[in-house]
Amino acid sequence: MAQFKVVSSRLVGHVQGSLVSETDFVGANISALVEAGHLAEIGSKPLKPKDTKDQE
Amino acid sequence: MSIIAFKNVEFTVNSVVLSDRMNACTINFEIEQQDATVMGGNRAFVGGIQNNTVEVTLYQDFSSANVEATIFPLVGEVTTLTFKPDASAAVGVANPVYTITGAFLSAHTPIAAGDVGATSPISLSFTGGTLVKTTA
Repeated sequence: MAQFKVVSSRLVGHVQGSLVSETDFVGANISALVEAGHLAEIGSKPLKPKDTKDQE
Repeated sequence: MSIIAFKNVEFTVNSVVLSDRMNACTINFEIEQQDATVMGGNRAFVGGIQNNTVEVTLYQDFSSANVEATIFPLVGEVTTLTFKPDASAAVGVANPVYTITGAFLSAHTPIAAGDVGATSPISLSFTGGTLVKTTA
């Protein structure tokens, strides 16, 4: 089961910095919370920068 | 008991507290009426399914983990909303919590700029879901 770190101070019932799992957010949209910056998935790799091509 | 003036409603969307950005809210709890009229009788109805709508007005805030960051990923998704009339008081008969699970957000207007220099209130309309009222 995925674990997350609470990085926002706006999550009801959860202290910033605490560790939580999906079961702590019944009825919530976890992916939206991660995308919004309220949760950070533990162990997830940071996104790689997109490949860029120099314009010729 | 007394007539209530809403001053400090606690509002959460997707487990995120946004009360300090909310300006107005309306919960419309509806059970659809279904015709159950039979021959020899008068018009009669029975209750069908819930058909709820929730309207919320928030002041837009683009700072991290705030209004825009929270709302944008929810467009086209279902989530949970909660409302408590008095954020500072305990839950009870005089201060019930309304929880709507499975509320769908179909649209969001990230920029609703009015006059120059003015704040930018955004209106959100959540539809569907199941409403439960809790008094304890």
